[in-house]
Amino acid sequence: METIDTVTLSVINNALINICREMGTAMMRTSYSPIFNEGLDFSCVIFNRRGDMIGQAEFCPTMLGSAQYAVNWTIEELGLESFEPGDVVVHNDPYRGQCHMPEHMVLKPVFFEGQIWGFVANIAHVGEIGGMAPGSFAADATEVYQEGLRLPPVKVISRGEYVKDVWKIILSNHRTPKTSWGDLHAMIGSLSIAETRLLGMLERYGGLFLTAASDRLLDYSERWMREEIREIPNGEYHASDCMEDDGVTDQPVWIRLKLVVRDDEVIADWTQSDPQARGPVNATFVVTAAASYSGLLHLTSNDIPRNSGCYRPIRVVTKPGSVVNVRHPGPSVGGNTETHPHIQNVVVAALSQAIPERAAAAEGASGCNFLFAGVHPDTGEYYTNYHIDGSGWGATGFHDGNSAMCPENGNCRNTPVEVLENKFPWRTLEYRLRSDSGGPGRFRGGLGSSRILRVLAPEITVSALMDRTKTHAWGLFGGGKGGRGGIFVKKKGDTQFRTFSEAFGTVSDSKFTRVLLNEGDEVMIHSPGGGGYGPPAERSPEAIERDLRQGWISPDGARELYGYDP
Amino acid sequence: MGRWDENTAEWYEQTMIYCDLCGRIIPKNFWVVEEGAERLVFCDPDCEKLYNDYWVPSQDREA
Amino acid sequence: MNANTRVRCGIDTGGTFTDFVAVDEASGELVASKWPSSHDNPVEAIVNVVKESGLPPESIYFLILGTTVATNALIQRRGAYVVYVTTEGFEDVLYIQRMNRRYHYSYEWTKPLPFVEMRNCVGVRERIDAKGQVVVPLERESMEQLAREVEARLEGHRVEDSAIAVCLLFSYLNPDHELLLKEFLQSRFPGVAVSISHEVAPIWREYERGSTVVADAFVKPLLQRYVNSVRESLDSLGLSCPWAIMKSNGGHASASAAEGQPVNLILSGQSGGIIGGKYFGDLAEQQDLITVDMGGTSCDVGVVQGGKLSYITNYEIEWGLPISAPFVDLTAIGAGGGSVAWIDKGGFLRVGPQSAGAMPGPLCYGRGGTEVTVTDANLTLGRLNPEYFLGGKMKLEATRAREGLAKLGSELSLSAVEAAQAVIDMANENMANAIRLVSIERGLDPRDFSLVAFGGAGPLHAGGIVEKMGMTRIVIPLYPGLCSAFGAALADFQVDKVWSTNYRSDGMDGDLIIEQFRDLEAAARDELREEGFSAVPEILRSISMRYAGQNYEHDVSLEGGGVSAESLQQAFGEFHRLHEQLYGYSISGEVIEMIRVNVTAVGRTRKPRLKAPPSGGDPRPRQSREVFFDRSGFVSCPVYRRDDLPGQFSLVGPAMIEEADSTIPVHPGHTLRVDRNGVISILA
Repeated sequence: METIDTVTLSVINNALINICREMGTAMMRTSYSPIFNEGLDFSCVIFNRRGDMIGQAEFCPTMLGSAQYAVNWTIEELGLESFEPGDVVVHNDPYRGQCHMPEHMVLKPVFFEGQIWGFVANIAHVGEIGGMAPGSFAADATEVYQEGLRLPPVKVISRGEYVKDVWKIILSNHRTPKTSWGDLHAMIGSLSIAETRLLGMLERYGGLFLTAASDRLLDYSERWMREEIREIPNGEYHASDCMEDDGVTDQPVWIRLKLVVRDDEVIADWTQSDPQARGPVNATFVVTAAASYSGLLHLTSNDIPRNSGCYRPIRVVTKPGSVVNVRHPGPSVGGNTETHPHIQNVVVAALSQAIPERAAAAEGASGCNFLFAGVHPDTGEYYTNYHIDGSGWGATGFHDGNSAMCPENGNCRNTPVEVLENKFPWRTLEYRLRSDSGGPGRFRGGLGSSRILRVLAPEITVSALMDRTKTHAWGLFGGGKGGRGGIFVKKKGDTQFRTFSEAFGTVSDSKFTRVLLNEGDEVMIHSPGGGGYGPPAERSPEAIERDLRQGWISPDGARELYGYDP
Repeated sequence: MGRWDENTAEWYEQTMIYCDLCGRIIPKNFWVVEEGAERLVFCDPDCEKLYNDYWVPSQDREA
Repeated sequence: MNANTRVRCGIDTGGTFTDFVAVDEASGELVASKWPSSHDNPVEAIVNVVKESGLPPESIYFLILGTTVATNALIQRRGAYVVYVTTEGFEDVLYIQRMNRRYHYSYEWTKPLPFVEMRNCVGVRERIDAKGQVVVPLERESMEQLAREVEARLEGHRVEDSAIAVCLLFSYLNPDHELLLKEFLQSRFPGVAVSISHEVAPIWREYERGSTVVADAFVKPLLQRYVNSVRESLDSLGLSCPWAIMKSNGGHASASAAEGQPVNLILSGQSGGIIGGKYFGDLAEQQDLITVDMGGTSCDVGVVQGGKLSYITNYEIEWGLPISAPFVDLTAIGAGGGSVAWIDKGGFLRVGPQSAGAMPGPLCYGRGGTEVTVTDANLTLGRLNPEYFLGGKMKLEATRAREGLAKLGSELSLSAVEAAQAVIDMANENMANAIRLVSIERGLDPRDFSLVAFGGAGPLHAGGIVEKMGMTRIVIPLYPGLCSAFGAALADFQVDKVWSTNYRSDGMDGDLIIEQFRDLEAAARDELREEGFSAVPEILRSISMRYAGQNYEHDVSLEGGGVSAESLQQAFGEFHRLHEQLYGYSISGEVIEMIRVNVTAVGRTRKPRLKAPPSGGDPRPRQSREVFFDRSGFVSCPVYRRDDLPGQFSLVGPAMIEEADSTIPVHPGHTLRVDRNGVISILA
């Protein structure tokens, strides 16, 4: 093969990124549920025929890291020979290389000159897939079978034709089939756009050349990643964190890491972690792998082309049957949203011992997953919705943590108040940042947010899956911990907000399902704040004064957290 | 010395084979290493290699 | 021009120079002048270009300015002291933003800072719900309370440097509370600029609308001052003609109308280029154009499709800080003659976005520049004439350029010439990517378009870009370096009006929609009259539609002269077709929601016919020199002056065409043709 100049390589890399971005735009513009079109809870990717991810864009790290496994599983289980032009496969099985049940992958082979050249795919959070809880986020599930409809890789479109039998099974098991229909079409539509664009590249460069170029890009990313790892001192670094409870039993579940840096590779050994939980905070192997990759990638150069070459030097070791590698038929819906950022934070905490100048303190790490369902009084139609909030990110050695951010495992947006109220019978009473919720430090952790919602319908059924409502995001190098989060309820006529355990007797304050609320009841969601970096005493008075002026800390907070008298 | 093997379970069965190093569930093809009575299953020779040059020594050290 | 000449003028304030073009519509003659821009005092250059042109003030009957005042204020964050007023409980929305981040695997990024401090985000007790109904009335007492809070924040700040931005929840459905507050705040805080969200951007999503109204307030006092300063300067020159400012939508508005809503001026300085480019595209009888306006520091790429400009409604000053307004669809990238070539950590060659500017400038300027630039690469490849840069006003030092490239090349294992070629290729690739963004990413095939290349450096790169993109036709305007100022001189009046609705295709009231169009049209006509256009405007109507359940819309044009039940039905059919074309599927039978009705009123201005060059004759090359091209290496090229080329002339490359403000390489095998208007087309 001729040598390929670096200019052409970077052109090809950019073109692949652009295809993925374009898929994302199409999905945002055409999908039905807010978690798609406002939340952008999806990731678009391109694979070569061997199953290497050669293109991605600024999407959710959990899906990007796990796409590698989901696509490979599909290719291996079905066999390359079973794909035909115009096919689309759907797949959400956590026991076949997927992250958790709501994440659905659609995958389309791209044929060029009569053979499969590669695949275009996207993974997206389908908001309602059946199971024991509306919104399919069963915080008290004990088996995967309660979490919704499980789909192994199956064709939903075969040679361009709908496989209606499969569609009927899927749509009969979802509570809001119309929305699923719209969202799945948005996903599949974006695949045709990507296919067309990839074919355009293939015509321009030729199949062999594009394969060679993408191989070079994979190697290039791997080489660069190895160089970056080489700059990290060799050694064994330990860190741990816990999930405060699992939704079924009120016991913490521990994640423990031994991270070994060995020349140009990193081994993330999670085998000392707790056995798998009864409730759904278990991570699948691919979630743990994706979180391990993400930890490393957050601490190395942002300029490395993002493809599966980046992941190659990172080895993940787990034990089946543990919280970081759930065994069938354990539940895992919260593993992907809540446990993932904890795992990633633990990687960063371990590496902070080796490369303190690049590390960040822990983030709030909760998506504050809030699910609700009911019949809309205006339309008489049944709806469900998956709602998320952002938490504070950890401070780094070079800046304060960002406030109210999607946890690291995703890269999702919030739903605007004006969109939420247009679609669902809630009135938002406030949406604010929480003073003093950022961990104090030379650099301050990001703030969590507060949202209060009032029920406008006769009934709304709510569920939640959060964490860090009893525990805290830790600080680094003397930095203080971030403020706790929480979800609270004020029944109509009550004078104060209470925890759901107090008001409804749920096992966990932060993880529960199917609580029935009535008109006039209010829910308050507090997202946790991020940890601080460096001793609070080292924070400059100017920064403290600014935080006071902007209301990011209160006068009491200044005294208590910083010993600063305003 | 290892060899490639594959999961021959029928399509209607649910059997899960885990890699003895990384813990991943293996879709179909796996790498088997048999030494005496001991039979180890890996994703690929890379996992076998890490098993030998990382996992075994680290267990020995702890023991 | 004789003493009775009446000219229409355009002024373009560029990063390096301010250009002036006067067009005599009767004779088709042009007068041009240039003056170095001053960032601190943009008006100074305006006065000087007018003086420099030598035109008697009474000959100028209309003047249109493209200004970067609003853009620069936002980019440099030098604007007003803003207080933001919003519904109680939602004071922090501008700081919460949308929760997502610029990079998915990085701790480096921090959220962009809004153009207002968080302490200045003040709540007022009131609430309108998602149906537009008042659920908490805006009481007098709440307004008084608000006034006290605003007053406390404005204390100690000069009235003329302060502004208030108002964004209440659901004001796009029911503006009553915002209107009450507008009147109240204006009377309570006289002299303080007030911007109201439903007037600036009547769109849903509180963060996007809030961010837009804050940007408007932030630049308003500056724009008012700029307009006054221009007015005084024009008066001092004895210019009494009406004048206008280019808007981001490619139209223009009278100065007083423009300063009232400065959020519409963010691309004022850039939109003239695409208007000028379109004019020459029309002359060359091309309907589908990609315009490339490349100067010293940046390059603006735009699209004209079917003879029409395309528009976008969202622009980000910085990632995560959106501004919703009508914009000519331009993509600006940091690629110009002064763009710096460098090698990244991974060993890849990069070009731009940083620029060496005019001072110290490229190595070959010999003014102490230390970094290799695109201009140095062009010079090393023989594509620039060191003796005829800016028409010979400046000598270039080829040796410095070559030494710099040799050094850069040694890091890439390339010779100086190979490195120069790589730098040009990379710069072209950056521009090609910008072209892909505006074409391929929207489902347009760039090969169906002609490339209109202008700005000082555009024509130099056009040949390389079309080869890269598989495009086949280049159009080079007359006076390519002045195309933006020329475009400003030609621009039409244009007003865009939008109203948010929420109708469904099942059970809609067609009469209500027709009425809404009528009201918007009346408002658009009024505004056009206020802006100084008195003739009959052209009215364009569209409805933003989506499938019920979706959250983003597409604009579907209503064809024909008016709105009727039939044209609405046709529009639904068109929406299904558009959805199929864009996304590969449509859902026939699905209910369609109509989210906005849009009206654009255009006041067309007369377009001049430029004076044609004499035709016939056999021009001689002035010299010949060695020029490097990708496929052939160095070849000997005849070098012509553009002035020497008669109408209907043609030649086959390689050749070089030089003029005072630009250089046009004709690549080997490309065919150049000068048409009867003097416009150059090159066929690849």
